[in-house]
Amino acid sequence: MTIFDMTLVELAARAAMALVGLGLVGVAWRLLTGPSAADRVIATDMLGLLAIAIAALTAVLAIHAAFLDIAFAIALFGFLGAVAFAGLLEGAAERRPEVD
Amino acid sequence: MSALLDILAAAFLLAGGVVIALAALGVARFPDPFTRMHAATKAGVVGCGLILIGTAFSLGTPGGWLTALAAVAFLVATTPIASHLLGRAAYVAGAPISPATISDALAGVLDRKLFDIDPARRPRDRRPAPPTPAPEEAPMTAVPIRDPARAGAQHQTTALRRLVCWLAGAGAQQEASAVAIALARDTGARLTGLSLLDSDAGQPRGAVPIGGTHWAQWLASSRRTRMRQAAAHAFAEFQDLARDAGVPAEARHDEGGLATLPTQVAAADLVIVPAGIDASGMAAPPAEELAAQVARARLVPVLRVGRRPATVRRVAILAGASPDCGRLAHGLIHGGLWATARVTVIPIGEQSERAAELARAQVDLLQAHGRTVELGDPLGADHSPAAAAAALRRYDAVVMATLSSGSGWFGAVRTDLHETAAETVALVLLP
Repeated sequence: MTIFDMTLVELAARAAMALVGLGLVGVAWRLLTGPSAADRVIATDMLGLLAIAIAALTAVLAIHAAFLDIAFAIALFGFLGAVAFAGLLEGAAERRPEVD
Repeated sequence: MSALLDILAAAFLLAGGVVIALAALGVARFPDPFTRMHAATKAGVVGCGLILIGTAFSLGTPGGWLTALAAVAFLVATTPIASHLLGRAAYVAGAPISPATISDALAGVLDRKLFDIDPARRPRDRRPAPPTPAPEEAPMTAVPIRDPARAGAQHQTTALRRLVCWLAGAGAQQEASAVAIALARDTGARLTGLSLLDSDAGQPRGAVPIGGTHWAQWLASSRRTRMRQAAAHAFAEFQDLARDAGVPAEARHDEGGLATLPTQVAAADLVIVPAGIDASGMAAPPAEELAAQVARARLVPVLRVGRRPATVRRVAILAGASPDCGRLAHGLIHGGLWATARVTVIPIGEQSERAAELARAQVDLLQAHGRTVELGDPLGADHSPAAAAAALRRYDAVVMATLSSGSGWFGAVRTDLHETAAETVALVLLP
């Protein structure tokens, strides 16, 4: 199947998927290198948003609305994850002794 | 109608993909956690929303529209809350703030930890320090070493464990960074770069004429911006140099000004300060220099770097009659610097029996620690600056009690021997 056989929507979805994949590399790099714990949490949050985009694009490519439900579910739980991580960071800061 | 919907769907999907890629680029490339979060949340939500709407257009079913719109609504409603919580947590946890930041509205509002890198990280193993070169043959020592048994035993021990390098981005910053990194490499000491800005620097104090307040504040804010840019430049340069030299180094930025100096340098054996600048990075006379200010706090020895000598072979101690001069030799020995250099004790100022005795006592102490030491010709108060500079030019480093003894009326007459030495010699140690 060549690029000319695709419909316009499929072409756009594949291009968007490539762009999201490119972004995934950058965010993963940030997640691995840090340097602070806050950077990693923010990168994790951003990974959730990228996952929503990937799920939605998969729904377009597979022409199946079930994948859209997955996107919705990730949107719901990503928020909870971010809140939990924020609590963890703040709690860790309060528990750490003053010696440093 | 269907073709129009297809075009709309494709446009939304592509736009969403582009925006999300830019958001990811921001997360990867922005300088501190707060700017990264700004990219992740704002641009990320817009990109996701566009892709979800494009998906709804492409599917075209009522169920698809309902799910997509619900997801977008939920994202728009929750992401601001999540990012607010994350930002607050990052601030409290002490995530580094980029030095280019203009103002910190939360300073003093939220309790903030010191710069703290990911606690899961461990410092790399330090390479063993290279063996110190054997002391070169001195052609002449004015006073022979009386205790040869102890002469060779002192070179293994060095007292340097923690170094702090001041990063101001002005004056002799590059040389200071290079000297600090070379020192950390040779001794295996842990090196910390510190930029300590005063966020109140240049604020108008007292009465300002009508209409002048605006310009005074504008001037202060642009000056702070310049200080931050200089510090950011020095940060980058410092980290590059450390990486090139293979020295593990961390850097810290604080805006508390010199008031927070005790907490910042308390855990250091030596602070390395670039010459010629004051606390806000402006050119300053020796009496008001940053090195003099830090030394006056008497917290920690200060090494003021004017130039970078290849090696330190000859060290001069300027011993006057003032009480502070009595601990110069002690400071040199316990600072652990220049163990193999040849030391010359130079009596200065008004010649008296007491000053001569003090100089001889310091020669004696250095000898007892196995240093190559000699008693130099005295430099009197009547020396002209040119003659003093000529006499001091052959030394790589000088140890003295103060950067300026403040002679002359209000410092108007600049023939102070300490200032001449500070200008002539590359390294100045203020123990």
